[in-house]
Amino acid sequence: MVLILCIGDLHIPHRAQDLPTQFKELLKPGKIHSILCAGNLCSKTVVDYLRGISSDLTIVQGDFDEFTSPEHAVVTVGELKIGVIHGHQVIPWGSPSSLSLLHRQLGVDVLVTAHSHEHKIVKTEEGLQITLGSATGAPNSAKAESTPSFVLLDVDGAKATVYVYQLVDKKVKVDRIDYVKPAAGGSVGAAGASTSTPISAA
Amino acid sequence: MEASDSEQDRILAEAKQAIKRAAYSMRKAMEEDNMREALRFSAAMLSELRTSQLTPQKYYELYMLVFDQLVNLETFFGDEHAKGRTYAQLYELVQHAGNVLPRLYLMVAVGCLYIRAGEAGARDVLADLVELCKGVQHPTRGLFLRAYLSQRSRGLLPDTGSPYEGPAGGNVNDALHFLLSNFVEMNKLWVRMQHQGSVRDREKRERERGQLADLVGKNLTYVSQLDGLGYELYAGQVLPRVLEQIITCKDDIAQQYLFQAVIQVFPDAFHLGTLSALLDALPQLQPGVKVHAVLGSLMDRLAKYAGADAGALARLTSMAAFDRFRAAIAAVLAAQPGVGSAEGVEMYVALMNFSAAVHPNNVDHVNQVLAAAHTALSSRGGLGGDVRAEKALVALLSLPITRYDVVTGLGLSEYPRLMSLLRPRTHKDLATRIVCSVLDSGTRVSSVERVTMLFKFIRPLVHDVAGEGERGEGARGGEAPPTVDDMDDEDVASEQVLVARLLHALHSDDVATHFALLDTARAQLLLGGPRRLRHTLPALGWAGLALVKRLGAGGQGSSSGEVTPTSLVQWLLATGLHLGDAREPLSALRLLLAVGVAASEDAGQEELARDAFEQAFTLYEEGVAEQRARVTGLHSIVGSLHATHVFGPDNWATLVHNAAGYASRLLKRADQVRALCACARLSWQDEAAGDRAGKPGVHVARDAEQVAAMLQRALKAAQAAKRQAEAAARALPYVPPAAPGVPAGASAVGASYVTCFVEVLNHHLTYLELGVDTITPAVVQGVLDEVAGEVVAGRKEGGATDAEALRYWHATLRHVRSRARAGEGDSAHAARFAALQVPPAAADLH
Repeated sequence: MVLILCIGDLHIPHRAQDLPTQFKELLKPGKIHSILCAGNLCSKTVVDYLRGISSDLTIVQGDFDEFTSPEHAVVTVGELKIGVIHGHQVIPWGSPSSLSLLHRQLGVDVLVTAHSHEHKIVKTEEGLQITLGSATGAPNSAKAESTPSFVLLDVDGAKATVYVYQLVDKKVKVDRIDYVKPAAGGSVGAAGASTSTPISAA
Repeated sequence: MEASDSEQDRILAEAKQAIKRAAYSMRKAMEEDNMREALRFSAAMLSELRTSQLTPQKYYELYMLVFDQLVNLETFFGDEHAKGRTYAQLYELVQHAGNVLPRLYLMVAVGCLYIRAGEAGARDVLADLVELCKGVQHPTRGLFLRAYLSQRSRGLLPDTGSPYEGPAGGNVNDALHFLLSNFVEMNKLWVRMQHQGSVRDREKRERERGQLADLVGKNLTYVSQLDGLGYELYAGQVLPRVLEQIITCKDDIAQQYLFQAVIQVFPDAFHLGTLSALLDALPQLQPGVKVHAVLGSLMDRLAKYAGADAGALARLTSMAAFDRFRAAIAAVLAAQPGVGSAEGVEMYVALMNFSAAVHPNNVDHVNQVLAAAHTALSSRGGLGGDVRAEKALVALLSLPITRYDVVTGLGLSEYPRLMSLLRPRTHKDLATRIVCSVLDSGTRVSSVERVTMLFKFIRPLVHDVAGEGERGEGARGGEAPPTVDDMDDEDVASEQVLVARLLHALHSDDVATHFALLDTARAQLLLGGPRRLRHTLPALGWAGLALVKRLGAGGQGSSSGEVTPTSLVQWLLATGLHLGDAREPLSALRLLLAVGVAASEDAGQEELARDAFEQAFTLYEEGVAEQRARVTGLHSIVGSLHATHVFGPDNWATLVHNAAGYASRLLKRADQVRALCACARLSWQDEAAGDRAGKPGVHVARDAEQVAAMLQRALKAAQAAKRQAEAAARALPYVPPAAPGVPAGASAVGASYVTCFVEVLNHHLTYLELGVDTITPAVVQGVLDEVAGEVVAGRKEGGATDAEALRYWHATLRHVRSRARAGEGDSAHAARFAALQVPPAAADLH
C-alpha cells in the first residue's frame, strides 16, 4: 500500500488563512508516503508545511505560485503512471475534452489536475481523471467559496483506490472510488461507498 | 562566634559524640530508676546545645539529636508520675539544673506533661514558660528553645473546645497570648541575628536567617489553627499585633517573610475583611522588601478565592477591591522609588490576573490596568532599556491576548500606547503574537472600529513610522528602530504572509460593512510600502473578489448600501494598480485579470473589464520578462479572457489580437504552438454560465473562421519549429549518434517538433468534435496526413520522433478510432470522425 496525498489550490495567504484544522489533524507526518501537489500553494511557507507531512514531495506550477516549479510532472507508482499538472493551461478551464487532450499528451494512466476548485473524478477512455478541489476552500473567479477537499490515492499494483476527503458542515466526509488500470482493453472498477479510510484523526 | 567550615564539622562531630555519650548514660540511669543521675546526664546532654560556634543548619542537627533523646526522658517522667511522683515535684526538681538552657528545656518538657496530666492550668504554666524563655537571648539558642516550646505545647493550648480550656486553664485569649508572645520574642531574636558578626558576612548571615524563617512562622501557623480564632479575634487582636511587630522590626527579611506568611496561613475570608489594614501596611515596609511579590500573592490568593466562591466574588466587587489594589500599587510605587520597573509591571500583571478572576468580562478594568502601567512607566521615562522590565511588560501585554478573545481585546484603547514603550523588535514580536492568536482562535473581526484598533495593535508589521527613531519612547534602549529596508526579503515575506492571512479574518455578514473593513485595511496597508504590499495586496484583492461574488449571488446588479458590484470592481481595479506600483507585475497581472473577469461576469461593466485587461496587458508587456513567467502569464490571460462574456465584437477582437500576438512572440516554438491553440478557443466560447445564457449584453464569441485561422497559425508555428530543428542540425557538421532518449529535434523543453504537430492535430480534433464548421473532416484529414508524414519522416531521419511523440501519436489515433466507434448518441459527430482516414492499426504499433 502506497499512500499518496494529492492536494492543490491552497492559495495561502492570498485566498485563505490556512488549511482547515480538521485536515491538519488528518495530515499528521508519518501517514503519507508521498505528495503530488497540483500547485497554487501559493506562498513558499506552505511548501515547508507540505514537506513536513512527507519529504517525498512533487510540486507543479500553479498560475498563482510565487515560486517556480516544473510545468507538469509524471511519477510511476506500482504499475500506474500518474501525471500532475495544475490545469490553468487548459482552455476552457476544466473542459473535459481539453483535459482529455492533455491526458493523451502526457500519456499517463491517472491525470491529476486542479484549478476549478471543485473536485471531480471521472473515468475516460484515456484513464482516470482526478480534478482536485481547493484544499482550503478558497474562492476563484467563479465562486466566493468552495468545499475544501483533498484526495488520497492508495496504489496497489495496477489498482488505485481514490479517497476524496471533503469538509462539509465542518465535518470530514470521505468518498471512495476504485480504479483498475485496464489490462489491454479491460474495464474499470466500480465506485463504492467507503467502509474504511486510510487515515483518520484518531 | 561561628567557626570556619572545617572547624564546624569537627565541633559538630564532637558535640554529637558528647550527646550520644550523655544520652547513653542518661538511659542507663533511667533503667536503674535513678532520677538524680538521669537529670544530671540529661542536663549534660542539653549543655551541648549551648554552643555558639555552629551555623543554624548544623545547630539544627544537634537539636534533632537531643530532641529524640528528650522523648525518652519524657517517657521516663511519665513512668515516675505513674509511680506516684507528682509533676509539681518534677517541675520543681528540674529547676535545679545548673545552666539556664538545659534547665529551660527540662522545664518545658515537664511543664507540658504537667498540663497534659491536668495537674496544672495551661494558662499559668505556658505564661510562665514563655516568660522564662526570655532568659536565653542568644538568637540561635533562643529560637530553637522557643521552637521546642511551641512544638511541645501543641495541642495543650486552652483553645476553644479543648480539654485544657476552663477556669484554671484559661481560654482562647490565653492561647493567643502565649503564641503571639512567643512569636514576638522569636522574631526579635531572629531580627537580632542580622546585627551579629561582621558586615562582611552579611550575605551568609541572610542565607542562614532564611533557613530559620519557618521556626518563626510556625507560630503564625499555630495561631491560624486555633479553633477559637474567629474573624473578630483575628481582625481585632491577631492582625494588629502581628502587623505592628512586622512593621516595627524594620527588618527586610522578616517583613518579607512574615507578610507572605500572614497572607498564606490565614483564611482568604479574613483577608477580605482586613484588606485595608494589609494594604495600608505595605507602604510602611522597608525599601528592600519586595512589596510587589507580597501584593502579588495577595491578589493571586484573592483571585483564586473569588474563582472558587461566588460570595467572595460579590464581596470583592462590592468593596471595590480592584480599585483599592490599583491605588495600593500606585501608593507603593510612589512611596518606594527603589521598586524597579520590572517589579512595578509585575504588580500590574498580578492586578490583571486578579481582574480577570474577579471581573472576567470587564474589559474596562483591563484597560485601566494598562493605563496605570503606562502612567507608572512613563513617569520613570519608559523602560529605559531595562530588559527585565520589558520582559514583564510583554507578559502583561500577552495576558489580554491569551485570556480574551481577540475581538474583546481590541476594545483595549490603552493597549497600543503601552505597547509602544517596547523596543521596536519586541514590539514587533508581540504584534506577531497578536496576529497568530487571531489566526489560531479563528476569530472574525467585524467592525471598522475593531479593524482600526487591530491595525494599531500590529502597527510594526504594517508600516514604519517616519522619524520613529527620534520620537519613539522605546528607542531609548539604544537600538535603532528597524524599518522594512533593514530586512531581507525572506523576513519581510514571512511577516507579511501573516498579515495577508490575517486579512481573511476580517468578515461581516453584511457586504457593505465587509467592504468598509477591507477599505480600512487597505488604507493602513498602503502605508507599508512596496515590499510589504506585494505580499498583502493580493490577499486584500481576493477578499474583495469573493465579496463581489457574494454580492453577485444576490442577482446581477444587486447592492448592499452604497456598495455595488461596479463600485467594488472599481475599488479592486485601484487595488490591482497599487500592486502594479509595488513592482510586482506578475502578481498585479493575475489580480487584474481576476478583476477583469469579475467586472465582466459579476458587474457586467464592459469598460471596467476592458480597463482591467488593458492594464494587465500593459503589465505583461512592460513588466514580465522572464520566459517561464511569460508563458504562465499568457495562459492566465487567455484563460481569463475566455471566461468573460461582456465584450462586444470590437473590444473582443482587439483583446484576442493582443493575446495571439503575445503567443507568437513567446521564445520557444512549443510554447507558441500551445498558446496559439489556446487562443483559437477564444473564438469559440462556451455558453455563459447559468441563467445569464442568452441575456442581452452577454456575448458568446463564435467565429469559426477565426478558429481556423488561429489553428493555421499554430500549425505554422509547428512547421517553424521543424525548420528551426533542422537548421540547428545542419549547423553541426558532425552529428554524434543521438544519446538514448534525446532526439535530435528535441527543443529545450524536451518536446520535439513532432509533438507540436501532434498537439495541433489534437486541437483540430477538439473542434471537429464541437462541430465547428470550418474544421471539416477534410481540413482535419489534411492536418492528419501532414502530421503522419512528419511522424514517419521523424522516425527515419535520426530521431525527431522520440518515444514521447510516438506514444502521443498512437494515443491520438486510438482516440480518433474510439470517437468514430463511440458516437451512437450523436451520429453526426461520430460520422465526422469516421470520415477520417487513419493509418492502419498495425502501422501505429511500430
